Amino acid sequence: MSEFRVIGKNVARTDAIEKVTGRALYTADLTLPGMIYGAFVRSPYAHARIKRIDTSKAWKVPGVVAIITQEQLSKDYALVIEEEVHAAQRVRGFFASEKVRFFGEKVALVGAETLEAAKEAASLVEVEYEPLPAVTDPREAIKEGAPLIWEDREPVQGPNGDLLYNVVSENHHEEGDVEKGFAESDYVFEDEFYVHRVHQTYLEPQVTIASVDEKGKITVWTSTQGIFAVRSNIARSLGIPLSRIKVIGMTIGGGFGGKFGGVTDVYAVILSLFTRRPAKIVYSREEDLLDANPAPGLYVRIKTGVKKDGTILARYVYALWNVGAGGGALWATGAFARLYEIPHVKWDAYEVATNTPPVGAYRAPGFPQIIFAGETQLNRIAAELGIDPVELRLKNLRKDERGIEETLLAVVEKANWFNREKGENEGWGIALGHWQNASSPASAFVSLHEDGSVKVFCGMMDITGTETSVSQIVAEALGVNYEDVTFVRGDTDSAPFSPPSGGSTVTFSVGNAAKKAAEDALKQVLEVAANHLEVKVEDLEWGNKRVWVKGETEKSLSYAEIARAAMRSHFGPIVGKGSFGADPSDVSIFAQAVKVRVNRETGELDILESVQALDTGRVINPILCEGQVEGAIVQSISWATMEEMKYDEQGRLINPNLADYQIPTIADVPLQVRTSLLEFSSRNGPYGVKGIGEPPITAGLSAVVSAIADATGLWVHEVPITPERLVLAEENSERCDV
Amino acid sequence: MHWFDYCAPKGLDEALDIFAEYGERARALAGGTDLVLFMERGKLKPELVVEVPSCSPFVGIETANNQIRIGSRTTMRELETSPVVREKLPILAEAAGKVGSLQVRNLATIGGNICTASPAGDTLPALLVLDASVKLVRKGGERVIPIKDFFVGPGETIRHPEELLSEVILPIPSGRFGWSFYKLSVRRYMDIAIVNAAALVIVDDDGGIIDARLAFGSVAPTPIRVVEAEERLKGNTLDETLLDEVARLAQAASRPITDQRGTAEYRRIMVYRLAKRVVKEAYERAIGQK
Repeated sequence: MSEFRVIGKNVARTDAIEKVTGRALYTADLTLPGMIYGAFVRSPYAHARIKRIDTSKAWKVPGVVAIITQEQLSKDYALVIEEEVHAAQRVRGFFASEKVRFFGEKVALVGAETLEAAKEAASLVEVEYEPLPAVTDPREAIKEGAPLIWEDREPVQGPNGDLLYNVVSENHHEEGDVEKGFAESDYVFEDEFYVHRVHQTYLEPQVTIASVDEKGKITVWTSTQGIFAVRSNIARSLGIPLSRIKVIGMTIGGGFGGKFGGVTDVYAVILSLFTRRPAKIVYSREEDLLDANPAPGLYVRIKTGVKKDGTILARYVYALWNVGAGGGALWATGAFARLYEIPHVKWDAYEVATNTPPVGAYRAPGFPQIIFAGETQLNRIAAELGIDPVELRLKNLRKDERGIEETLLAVVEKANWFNREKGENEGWGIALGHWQNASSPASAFVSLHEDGSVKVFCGMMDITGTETSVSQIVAEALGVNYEDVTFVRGDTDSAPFSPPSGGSTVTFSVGNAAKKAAEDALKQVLEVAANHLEVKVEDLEWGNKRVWVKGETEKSLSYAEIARAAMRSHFGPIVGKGSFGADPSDVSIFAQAVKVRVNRETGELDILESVQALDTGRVINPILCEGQVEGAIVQSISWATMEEMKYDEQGRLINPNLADYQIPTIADVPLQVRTSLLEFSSRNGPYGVKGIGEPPITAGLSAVVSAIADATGLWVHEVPITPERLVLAEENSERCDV
Repeated sequence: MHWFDYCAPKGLDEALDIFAEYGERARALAGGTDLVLFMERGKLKPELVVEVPSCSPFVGIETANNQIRIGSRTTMRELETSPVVREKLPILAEAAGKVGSLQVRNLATIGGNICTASPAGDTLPALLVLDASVKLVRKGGERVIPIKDFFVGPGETIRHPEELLSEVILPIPSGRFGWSFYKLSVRRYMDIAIVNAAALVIVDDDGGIIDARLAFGSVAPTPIRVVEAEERLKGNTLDETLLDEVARLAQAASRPITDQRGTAEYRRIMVYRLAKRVVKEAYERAIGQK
């Protein structure tokens, strides 16, 4: 790492001071002159036919300026949410019109002079419903006679010839011949796993302000992971040209995949289009939990055939993704097989509609769920065969790819795995995870100011410190200090295209574009210097904000002098431009070992230790990298132990608040956290960067569940393993033993 | 839209005049950690919000005649850190320390926790085993009620709308006594109890149980004392058989429901297990006293 000046250093985040001092400006902080407030009318039923909507009482509330239902919208409008980085696209109506399909679904939007008036009017919109039976569990939804979420959908043929209802899409894959593989196996293991739906639970609820001016130009201030994604969603949803929409990304308080748009932004635009007033919509936490695209749930039946020595011959997965009233989760299914050499692999995966909210992306979409099933079963197989879970993996890992084994062994070493110690009621679990990084089109400008300082300009949203890492990349490429670089985030009118910050693609993609822009600027710097010093570019050397003639260091110019010289010559101001296309990234490998202590009396858990390693390619900023890993492992441990969207028999969410939808406090996180970063460079990343954000959430579910099994001898197949679930599982297993 | 007036009377008499006039149209504001949420959700719509005065008898922790008097405005944080409470009523300090977050405990008051009457209120099982009483004052009168008779149902108490809870009176346990409190929750901190359990045991020189009190929260419409179990313990020394019997009596006395925090099935199991745990720990601590 010593070869770099700026990369690999723990420089302070560009946004540290504004966030710590409370100066950072979030969307909810803004108020525009003449602004109105929006409030939604939401369904009190999970499934019901809408018979009648009567807005007359609501209109009597002083200050009401608009009440919008689906009926009033143009037939050409359809809510389009595209997550290019996750290869998912979702199209649906803005409001429920004939039928509501989940508890809390939007039925109407009220605009009023004050938020209080909007809320009161929303409560006075009378909607007559005919309640229908609801289903929230995909295992029930596929059965004949289950309530049909989309009534025009025919059942599909399941793998056993049975009919599966409420299936909205399916995916099938086979390599080799699994039946042959199972026949040749010494043992065949079959397990079922169930993962409930969970929410991204970002700190800042969804929020947007939109304003339409006299010329029809729409300006949007919003909390989003991608301003260009929001622009294109609005354009496609409402049939408006991109050039008429300007999206300004305000400081974002977290996203985790939940902020690609479509929750508040298009609605604020519609409200402004109806009223020609600036319109603000701020979600409450309850609204976020009810209706902001949580992660899909998953039911998996997984079958694995092994030889006596642990060699895996075949794996089959039957997966039902709970996609609620949406879709877009299927593609992750194959992740269970990605890291292993398995001769025969097959899966049959289905997206099943239920009376729960449409799915959205959540950090490594789908990977934590499917990897939980695959890795937990491997640990059970290891326990049954009396083979160490690490040995079992080493025997079966893919050999043709760098980094998998090394990452696993880094954890083995740091956790002292083969000599691991555990006391009474303590257990260890280990699992592998990964994320198939992608790349996205990106562009940036880098300008050299006349005092030698530097500006990076693009439209990237910074959730995790990417302004800092991109600034470090630019400083490195241009030979300046980090402190010399200012990162400027433009809006969609001013900035060149940037991809949304998601899918662990942004340091890779925007980093590449910014590096190219810096290199372009450097080329101009050298040309100007060569001209000024009357030498050839090849005769020049550069570094530390200076350019000099090889062997004649006294013949030199500072960047400041060069920037000024450029302005006084035919070159003009130095502005580098960088565009990056779709050169592929490489997979990031993650491994995690967790030690738990179980209170057998109450089912409560202590997470004593979490030891993990991430192959993330070149590390630009170690402390930001470790922060990403630590945040992700806390999320996966919380997913494994407490997070669950709970629905009652009528399909109503019964825990739409953070008292009852539990996420950890600092008292619940592992007592000890140790992280190793491995730097197997990617082929195309700037300085070898890969993705960081997603991979470290992918192994924790299995590591925790396997650690609990190690402590108790009990394999719990459903997460989260709350104290209750553990105690009841133990009680039930005792009853079965009798 | 809910509009309300706010007033801050300067003392007890002025406050009582206001409540006499407004009755159920007024609500008392102390820490506000429950009231403000209830109003925000439309669960309560008082016309007038009355700040409980920060003066006698609503404040202070005082010892006299083998009793401790705690003003109803005393915060959870004050209870948690008060040297007197920690020494004389350690179970109350422990339970108060389990409420919400530090920020909530800086505001939330003992009077509020009692009057909200949540079956899951963390201090309530501790107050029950301490044989606490509450003083209710109204214009021209007052009454002292044992806390076990105060709760009627979830959020319901025998308090009349014109009455204010002014103080809590706790006899100081004496002799060889031991206590135990357990809050069962998913999170370690900032959580609402799935089950709360509290026990207080007093033993004689030979380790025989003179007095025993056992209480639970979140397992019935109100926090409960398990009198049958207490009676069974008195006059005995503790062994596994007795512990099992006592825990079964506790289980029989509970009437848990299934809600977003836990099923009735789990709660019933936990009443049994936690009864054993807190009685045993309280007994062992009592035995350990000289």
